[in-house]
Amino acid sequence: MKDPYKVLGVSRDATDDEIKKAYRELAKKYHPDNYVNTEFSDIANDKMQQINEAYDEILQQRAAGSNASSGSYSGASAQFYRIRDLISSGRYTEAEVLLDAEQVRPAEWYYLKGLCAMARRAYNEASDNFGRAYRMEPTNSEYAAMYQKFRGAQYNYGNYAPGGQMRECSTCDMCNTLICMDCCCECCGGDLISCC
Amino acid sequence: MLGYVRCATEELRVKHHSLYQAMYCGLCNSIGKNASKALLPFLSYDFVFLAFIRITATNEKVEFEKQFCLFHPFKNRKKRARDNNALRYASQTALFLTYEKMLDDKLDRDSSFSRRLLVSFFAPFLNRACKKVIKRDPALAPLYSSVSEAMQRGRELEKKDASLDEMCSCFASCLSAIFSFGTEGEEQRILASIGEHLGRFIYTLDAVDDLEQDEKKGCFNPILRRYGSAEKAKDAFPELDMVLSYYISQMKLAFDLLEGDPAPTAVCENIICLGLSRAAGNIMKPKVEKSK
Repeated sequence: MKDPYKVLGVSRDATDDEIKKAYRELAKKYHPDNYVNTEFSDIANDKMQQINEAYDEILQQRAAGSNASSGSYSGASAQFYRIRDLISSGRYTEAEVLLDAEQVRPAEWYYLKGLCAMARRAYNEASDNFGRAYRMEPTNSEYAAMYQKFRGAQYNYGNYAPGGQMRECSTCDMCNTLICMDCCCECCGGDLISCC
Repeated sequence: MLGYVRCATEELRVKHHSLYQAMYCGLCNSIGKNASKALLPFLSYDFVFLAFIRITATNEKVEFEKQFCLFHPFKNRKKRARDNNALRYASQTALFLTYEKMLDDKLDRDSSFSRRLLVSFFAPFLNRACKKVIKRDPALAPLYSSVSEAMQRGRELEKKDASLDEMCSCFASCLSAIFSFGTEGEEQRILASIGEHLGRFIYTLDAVDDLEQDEKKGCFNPILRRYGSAEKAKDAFPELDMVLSYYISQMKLAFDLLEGDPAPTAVCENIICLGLSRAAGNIMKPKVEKSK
């Protein structure tokens, strides 16, 4: 089976919204209604099915991934559990002291170390650690997501706004907002822009 | 093809436009290398579209090179596409089609003297080039014969005063063979459909374009034959416009099913959705306004 992210044409670190948008766009394009009574209805149906499967798979993967990150402490040692607790409450220095005292260093150790390094803004170190955690346990979705995020961020600004996804506040938006606000004010008896 | 298939330049991103230019230069280079230099005066952007469609279908990577250009010695053409399968194929088919079109003109008693002079000068070169290409690449022989067969059928139908649809179907089958040659399965069906509808589009538009000229010279024109005169034919323009839009929409539907790289896909979409409808508008509009 094809890579579901490739089918939808999104990168692995795309947000859920981006994936949904890509899915909707493709579904609109290949919708069987478009190809009704044409010679390509079978191909379009195949494509539609591929997109649906890919979308479902990504949703499942992501749901499993978030479960794994919340439930993955169960197998880890109690010490790592405490360190995670410290990190989530923002006490990075204490977490790092505990980490450095640790003798056994599994993938999780590198992952947590990476999080601490991130807090210190030592991004190179963080990147090294995340990469190491990912290579030691490539199947762990938590490590993979972090690693991809790091790598993704490096090239992401190079291909900004694929297909015009860039959403900025334009002059037109500002005017529209002002007009809307004026209308709202007038409904309530007030006035924002006196001339209209 | 007759120069109707071009991109809407100002709607393209800069990077896509430079890719388009580079492919045009690449095609020029490829024609010199793989077809015949005698074809260069007849080079048009149409066959760049063919090359782009083939690249989208086959996912071939485009590489670039920097080269001095004899035709634009002072222009800074930064890069041109290195010769690849799609460009070679486009240059070979451009040779076949241009030669067949020349035969058309040569046999056509009504074409102008200067045109016939030009054709009778270049045709022997192109004929020799066609034979050379087929000798070098024997797999192309069936393609060439189906192209010339379709054009031959067109010439016969012309004598029988055939309808616009019948005339269209000849050129359509010719282009559908060219677009889909060497592919199979779904891809072949998709490419054949793109070629088919493009062929119909081009033939119809050409017939509209030549209305007045054909009326003056008394040449065969399926639209003229149906409506009697160029003036009366103008009433049918809205209908013709609808048919042309239908061809474009069918091409777009088929094209959407191809999975290509983003850059060539963007160029092709631009040509299909904007370039073609603009070409149709450019020809139809002045005629309608003039008659008012």
